[in-house]
Amino acid sequence: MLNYLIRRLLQSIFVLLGVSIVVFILVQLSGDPVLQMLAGTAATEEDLQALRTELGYNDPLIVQYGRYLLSALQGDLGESLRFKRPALELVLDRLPATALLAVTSLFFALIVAVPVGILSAVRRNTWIDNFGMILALLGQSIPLFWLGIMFVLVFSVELRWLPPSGAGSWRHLILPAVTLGAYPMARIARLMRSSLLDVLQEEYMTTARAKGLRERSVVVTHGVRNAALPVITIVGLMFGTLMGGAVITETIFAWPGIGLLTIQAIQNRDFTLVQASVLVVSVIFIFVNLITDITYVYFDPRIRYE
Amino acid sequence: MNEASLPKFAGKTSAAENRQPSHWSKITRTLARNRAGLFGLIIVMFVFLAAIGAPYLAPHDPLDQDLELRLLPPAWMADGNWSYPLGTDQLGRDILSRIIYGSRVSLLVGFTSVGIAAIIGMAAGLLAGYQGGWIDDVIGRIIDIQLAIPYLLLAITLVMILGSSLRNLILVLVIYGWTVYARLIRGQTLSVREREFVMSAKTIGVSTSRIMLRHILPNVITPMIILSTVEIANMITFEAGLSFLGLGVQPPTPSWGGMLADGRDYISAGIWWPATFPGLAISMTILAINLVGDWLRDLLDPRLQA
Amino acid sequence: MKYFGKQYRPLIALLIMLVATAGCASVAPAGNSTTGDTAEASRSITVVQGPEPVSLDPSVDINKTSINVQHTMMDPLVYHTPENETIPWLATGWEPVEPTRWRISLRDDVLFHNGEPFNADSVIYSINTYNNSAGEGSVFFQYVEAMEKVDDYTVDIITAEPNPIVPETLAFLYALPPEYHAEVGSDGFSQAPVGTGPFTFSEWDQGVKIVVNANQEYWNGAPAIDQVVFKPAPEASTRVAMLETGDADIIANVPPELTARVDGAEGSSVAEVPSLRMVFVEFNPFEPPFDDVRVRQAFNYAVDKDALIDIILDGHATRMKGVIIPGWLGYDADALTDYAYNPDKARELLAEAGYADGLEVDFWFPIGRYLKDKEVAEAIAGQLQDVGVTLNMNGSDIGTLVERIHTQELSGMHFFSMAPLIMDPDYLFRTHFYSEGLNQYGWTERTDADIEQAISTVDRSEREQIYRDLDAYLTNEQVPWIYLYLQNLIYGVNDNLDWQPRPDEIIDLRNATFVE
Repeated sequence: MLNYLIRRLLQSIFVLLGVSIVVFILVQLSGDPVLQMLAGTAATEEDLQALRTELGYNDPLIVQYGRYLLSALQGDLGESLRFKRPALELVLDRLPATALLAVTSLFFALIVAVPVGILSAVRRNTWIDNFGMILALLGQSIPLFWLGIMFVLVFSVELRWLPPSGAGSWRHLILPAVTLGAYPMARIARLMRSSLLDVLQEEYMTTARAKGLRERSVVVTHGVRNAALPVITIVGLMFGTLMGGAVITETIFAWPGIGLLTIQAIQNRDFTLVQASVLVVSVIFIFVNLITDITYVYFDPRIRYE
Repeated sequence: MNEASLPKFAGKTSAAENRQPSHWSKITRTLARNRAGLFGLIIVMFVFLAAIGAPYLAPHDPLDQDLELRLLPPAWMADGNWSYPLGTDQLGRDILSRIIYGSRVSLLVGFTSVGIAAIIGMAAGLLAGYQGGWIDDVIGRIIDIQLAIPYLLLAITLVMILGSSLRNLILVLVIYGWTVYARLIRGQTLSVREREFVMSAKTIGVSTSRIMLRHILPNVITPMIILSTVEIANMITFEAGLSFLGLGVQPPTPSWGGMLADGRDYISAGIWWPATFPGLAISMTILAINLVGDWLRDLLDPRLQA
Repeated sequence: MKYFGKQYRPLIALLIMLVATAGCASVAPAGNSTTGDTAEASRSITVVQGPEPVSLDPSVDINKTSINVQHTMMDPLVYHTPENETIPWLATGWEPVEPTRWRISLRDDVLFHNGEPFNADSVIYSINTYNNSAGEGSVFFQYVEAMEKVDDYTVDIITAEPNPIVPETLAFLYALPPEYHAEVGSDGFSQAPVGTGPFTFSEWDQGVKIVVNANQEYWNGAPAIDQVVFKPAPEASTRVAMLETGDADIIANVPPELTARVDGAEGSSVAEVPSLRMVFVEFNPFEPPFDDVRVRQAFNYAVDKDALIDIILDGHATRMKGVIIPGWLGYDADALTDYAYNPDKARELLAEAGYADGLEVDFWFPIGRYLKDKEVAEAIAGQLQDVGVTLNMNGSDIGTLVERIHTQELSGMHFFSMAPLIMDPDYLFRTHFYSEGLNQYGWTERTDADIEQAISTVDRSEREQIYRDLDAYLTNEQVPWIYLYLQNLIYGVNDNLDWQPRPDEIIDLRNATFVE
C-alpha cells in the first residue's frame, strides 16, 4: 500500500510538472514581453536588448523555466501585468465563487438527471420517456450562451423571479447554475437511461424478477446501483466541461469567478494572470484526485491496485 | 462529454465477431424501429447536402450586402420578401444563404477536428494499449496532464494568441480532442489484446503492426464511431461559444455560431430572425447528430440486438 | 462495500470539492447582500459598467470605467464642464507668471476624508506620485520640470518649455492625501482610497461591487445620492436586463439595437450624448498600396460614411471630416475636403494609381470594443468590394489589436479609435501624427514641425491657426485615415434619476438628483 501511495504521489508530481511546462510554453507563445512593456515608447533596439538581458529573457528557455518553477514552488506566480498585484492572490480571491457555481450546477444536473434517466428507462417508450429525452436532447443541443441570455430574458425580465446578474445571495446563484448545469444534466440523463436499459436486460435482473421480487425493488436494488457506475465516472470527468462553461456563464451573469477573471485577463493580454489561473485550476484537479485515491486506500485496503 | 461511453463499452466489443449476413437489412431494420434515428439521419444528410451544394442551393451570394434591405423580416411576415425567404441580417445579407453556406463551417469544424483527433488518438491509444510498458506510461501521463488542464481556458488562450482562423480553431480542437480517443482505444485494445484470436495471430508470427491493423482496429471502430457523434456535436457548440467571446471564424465567412452571436441583441428589440434561424440550425444539427449516434449504437452494438 | 469500488472515486472527489467549496464560499462571494433587487434604501443607486476597475489609485489606472469610480471619491484640481470649459475646482486660479512657470492657487477649506488637509504639499505629492507611477497615470505630467511651494495654498509648476495646456492637464490631477498614500502605498490605496470628493469609500467586493457613501462634509455641499454601488456586467443584454429589473439605475454602453428596449421598458430611458471618441481607419502609408495618396483618397470616396452612421449605427454617431473635434481650438469644417461617397471617383483614382484590376489589402479590426465595430468593418469591406478592393479580414479582441498596432508595423489598414485624455488638439495630433508619439503610422515632417511649434506657442489665436492649417493639410493633402465618425455614448437611466451624460465618458454623479 505504501508502494502504491508513493507511486501515486510521484505520478501527481510528474503531471504537475507537465502542466507547469504547458503553461510556461503558453506564455512564451504570447509574444515578446519586453516589446509589450515598452510598446509605444521611443525605446531603441539596444534599450530592448538591455531590458531583455536585465529581466533574464535572453537566458536559455530551460533556465527561464527553472526560474519560473522555483518561484512557483514558493507560491510566487508572478505579478499580474495589469493589476500590479500577485497573480496567485487574484486567482485565489475568485476561486471560491467558481467552485460554488460549478458544484451547484453539478448537483442541479444530478438531481434532475438521475430521476429523469431512471424514469425514462423504466417507462421506456412512454410519454415520460419521450418527454425526458426531449428535455435532455434540448439541453445538449442549445449553445450555452444562448440559453443564458434566454434565461435572463424569461426569468429576470419577464417573470421577475430572479436577479439577472451578480452575486450575493442564493437567488443570484440559480440562473447561472442552471445554465451551466444544463449540458451535464442532459448528458447524465441520457447516460443514466441507456445504462439502466443495459442493466435491465442483464441475466441477473431476469433472475431477480424470476425470484418474484417486485419490479420496483428490482430496479432500485439491482438496476440503479449497477447503472450508476458509468454515470459516476462521467461526473468525475465533467470538471473540464464545467470550467470551460464557467467562462461563458460567468461573462453573461457577471459572476465574480475565475472564468470571468481569466477571460478578461486574456483580453487584456495579462498572460501572467492567465498562466496563474490555469495552473491553479490544474493543481486543484490533481490534488483532489490524489486525495481521493489516498482516501480510498485508507478506507478500503482490500482494493488492489496494479 | 467525451468520457460517456467508455465504461459502457469496456470489454464488450466485436462487430467483427458478430458479422451479420446483410448490413443493409440490419440498417433498414434498426431504422424502422428507431424513428428518431431516421429523423436524425435525414437531417444530417440534409445538412451535408446543403454544405456540398451550397452554391446551387443558396438563392444569393452569402456575402452580398444591401444596407437598404437590412433586417428584412422572413417572407411570410408583413414587409417580407420572397426573394429573402428567412429575411436579411444587420447588413442586408440573405439569412437563408448564409445558413446554407454556414453549414460548411460547422461541418468542417466538427468533422475535420474530430477526424484528425480520432486518428491521432487512435494511433496513441493502440500503441499504448498494445505495447504497454514505458510507451503506455508516457502516453498515459500526457493524457493525465491534458485532463488536468481546463481545456476551454487553454483553447481560448491559444485562439487568442494564434489569431482566430478556421485552421487555428481546428488545431485547438484537435489538441483537446485526441485524448478522448486515446483513452477509449487504449482501454479497448487492452481488452482485445488478450483475446484468443489475437494471441493466435501472435503465435503464428504475424507482425505487430499487422495485428494492430487487422485484428484490433476493427474491434475498436464501433465505440469510436459512436463516441465521434458526441464529439462532433461538441465541436459545433464549441465554435458557437468562441463566437460569443468574439473569437469565432473571421468575418465575413458565415458561421452559425457567429450569426447567432451577432444577432443576439436584436432579439429583444423584436428582430428575432437573425439569431433564431442560425440558432435553430445549430440545435437541429446537434440534435440530429445525437439521434444518429443513438441509432448507430443500436446498429453496431451487438448486445442491444434482441 | 460491494458498491464502494474504484468507480466511485469521482463521487468522492466531488464530495471533497463540495466540502472545500462550502468552506470557502461561506467567506467569499456572499458579501453582504444589502443591494438586492429592490433598492430598499431608495437613496442608493447602482451604476453598471462593462469591466471592473483594475485599481482605484488614479495615478495607476486611468481607464474611464475606473476613473468613474475614482471620480466619486476624489476631486481634480480643475474641473472640466461637459461643454469643455475648465473651471476652478480644488484650484481657485492659475496663471503663467513666466512662460515656463504656472502659478496655481488652491482652496484653503478642503479636508481629505481622513482629516488630512488639502494644500500645496498634497499637490506636489500628487504630481510626484503620478510621475513615478508604474501605471498609465504617468503620462500626464512628464512636462513638469520642478515644483515650488509658494505658500500653503499656492504652488508653482515649472516646465522645461512654455506649455499652454497646463490647466487642461490639471483636470486629470486627482488630489491624493500625502500621509495616507505614502503609508499604505499604491496597492493599499487602491483597496481603500481616500480623497476630498463627494463620496467616501465603503467597500470593494472584488468582482462583485464597489460601494461609496455620501460625504456629508463635502466642501461643495453633500450630494443628493446617499450611496453609489458600482457593478460590472460585461454582457450588454445583461446590463439592460439589470436596468429593467431595477438592479441598476445607470447602465453604460447600450448597443444601438437595445435602445428601443431600454426606452420601451417601464421606468427607464436612454440618455445619449455625442462622445469624444473618434473612430477611423488608419492606413500604413509607408508601403504599397497606401504609399500612393490617390489610393488613400480612393478609399475615402469608396466608403459610404453616411450609410454606416444612418443604417448600421442607426444614427448614433456624428460624421467627422478631420482630426479636430467640433468646437475645439482650430476646428473649421469648411477648410476640409468632404470625401462624400463617390464610388466612380474611387474607381477612377484606383485606376490612375495602377489598380484598375482591383487590389487586396489587409484589414485589422477589433471585435466588441467600439459601437458595432464588427458590423461596421464588414460593411466597409462590402463597400470596398464594390470598387474592386478585396479586404483580408483580421478581427481580434482590442488588446491584441492595440498590441499589434504598437509593436509591429501593421500592413494595410486598421480600424481604430482615439478618445482624448487631455482636452486639447495637441493631444489629438501628438498621439497619431508625431514621430515620437504613441502611434507611428501618421506622422510626416510637416506634422512633427507643426506640433512642436504649436505647443510652444502661448498665443491662443496663433495656436488656433497652426492647428487649423495642420488639420486641413492632413485631410486635404495627406489623407492618413478614412475619416469616419464620433460615436455616441448611450446609457440607460432610471427615470427616477436626473443625471446628464458627458461627452468625455465620465459618469459624474456630483449633480445627479432624484426626481421627486
